[in-house]
Amino acid sequence: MSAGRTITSIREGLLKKQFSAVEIAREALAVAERENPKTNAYLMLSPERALAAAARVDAKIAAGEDPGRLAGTPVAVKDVILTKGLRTTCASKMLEKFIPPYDATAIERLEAAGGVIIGKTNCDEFAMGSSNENSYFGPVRNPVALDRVPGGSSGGSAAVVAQETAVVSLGSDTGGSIRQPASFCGVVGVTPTYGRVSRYGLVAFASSLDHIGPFGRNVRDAATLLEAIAGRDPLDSTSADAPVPDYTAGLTGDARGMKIGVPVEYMKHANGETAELVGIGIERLRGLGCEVREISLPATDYAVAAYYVICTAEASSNLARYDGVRYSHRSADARTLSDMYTKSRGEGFGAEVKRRIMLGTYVLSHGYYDAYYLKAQKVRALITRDFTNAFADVDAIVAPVSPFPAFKIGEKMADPMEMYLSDIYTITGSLAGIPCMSVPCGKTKDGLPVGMQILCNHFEEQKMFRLADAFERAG
Amino acid sequence: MTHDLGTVLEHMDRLAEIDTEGVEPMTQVLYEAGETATLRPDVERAPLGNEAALANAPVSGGGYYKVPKVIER
Repeated sequence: MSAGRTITSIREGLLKKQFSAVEIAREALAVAERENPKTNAYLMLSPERALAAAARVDAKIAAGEDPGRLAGTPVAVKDVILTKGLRTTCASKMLEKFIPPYDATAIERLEAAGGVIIGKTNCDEFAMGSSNENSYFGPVRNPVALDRVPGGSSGGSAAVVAQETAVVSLGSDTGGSIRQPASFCGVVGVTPTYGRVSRYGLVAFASSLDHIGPFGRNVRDAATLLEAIAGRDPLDSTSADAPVPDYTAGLTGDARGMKIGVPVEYMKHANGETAELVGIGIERLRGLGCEVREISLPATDYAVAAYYVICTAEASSNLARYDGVRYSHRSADARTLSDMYTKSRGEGFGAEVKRRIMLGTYVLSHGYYDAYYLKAQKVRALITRDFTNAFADVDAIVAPVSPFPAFKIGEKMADPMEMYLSDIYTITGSLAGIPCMSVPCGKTKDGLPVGMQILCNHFEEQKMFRLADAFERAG
Repeated sequence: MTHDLGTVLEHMDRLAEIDTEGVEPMTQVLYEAGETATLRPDVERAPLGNEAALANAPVSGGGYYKVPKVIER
């Protein structure tokens, strides 16, 4: 794909007849096929589906109809989001052969808006991980530095946007799985308000925390994609019945007078260069006329513990469905019913998924429920209260995304707890269900991207995008 | 694996340190919404259909999922 394509530039080019959607799709597929061996970011390309969608866009333009706000845009989709007739694996042996019988609502909506799905992206197995090293189909390499991880779990979706083998992509975020890879790969990644985007057709990991959200090379593209997929869906009772505002209309570059809070608890764990770059980012916001003040989110220190109790508990329940009967892997030597369950699950799940199922089963078990699960839910309430109190005084909170930039492949695989602790800055927003995003804020001396996180109150995506866009323009 | 799980549980034990007296557990993300916000109109929808539902089954036959024998004679 020609470098620098955006949703806006493709739509304009189509309407001016400079190229057709089919030409753009062919170009994107060819570049993705050529470049993918470097990163392993795509698990599969979908040329038939892409060319059919592109042809529909061209037909609409020829008929003088509106081709939609994503007209002809090549989109990549994380392989945990169901695509009818197109294999969806969750990067697991468990679903290696699974062909979904229906589309996720987000998929239907992005295609209805003229988006062209060109492939499914690699990720951590069942979206569990922070480095994309837990994939059954092998790790993804960071296109910025090929010996490093792209982050996770939506590592493939971040990598394809950074590598320019897609214009935008969809990922999923449970505790930071969009923001952290966006930060590691130097792109924009957005976790919208809980319930903003329907999860119908998103393979469930932790239902009280799961989100679908967009990646883009700039704030406008990410905002446009979110606009196309957001809104109430009768098929997901947790989807919010709140109107979807015009996110791009507010992108004026003006952030004057916005009040920004910087949590003291977040700056203390960040490594030197990350803290420095985010500090420079905060100065840039000051330069834009924002009013910056220190705030405190005192329950932050307990967020990792609370998050891993809640997400493993919910995962242990959600992943019980992989029974080897209806649509998942069945062991070839299952002689009895109980054999079928234990051997199929033993063979089908990787180490990290097993770890989380076991932890979740433990924290929900009789005698431990109050000390772990119930306690974690109370701590979750305290973390949310911290944010509610903060947003009474500030418009947005700004913080690092991750304590450090992209690390080397294999560097943190030996110690799961160390990997979990690296999610410290992203899981607080996930627990509260507030919109948050990563926007690039510079590079380390080694050339590794660092993202700055912006968090706003429930359903204040518009404000968050306005600030992020102004920040991006001033960079 | 045992060591890994031990380390994680040890970290989770830190939850005991924080005072949550009088705090309601948060079971779901809460924001302003009407009482009927999660309801939908009761509209008929075509089901998936037998063939599509069985298409991904590792073993099926006669319109059913097949599993190893459950009841021994």
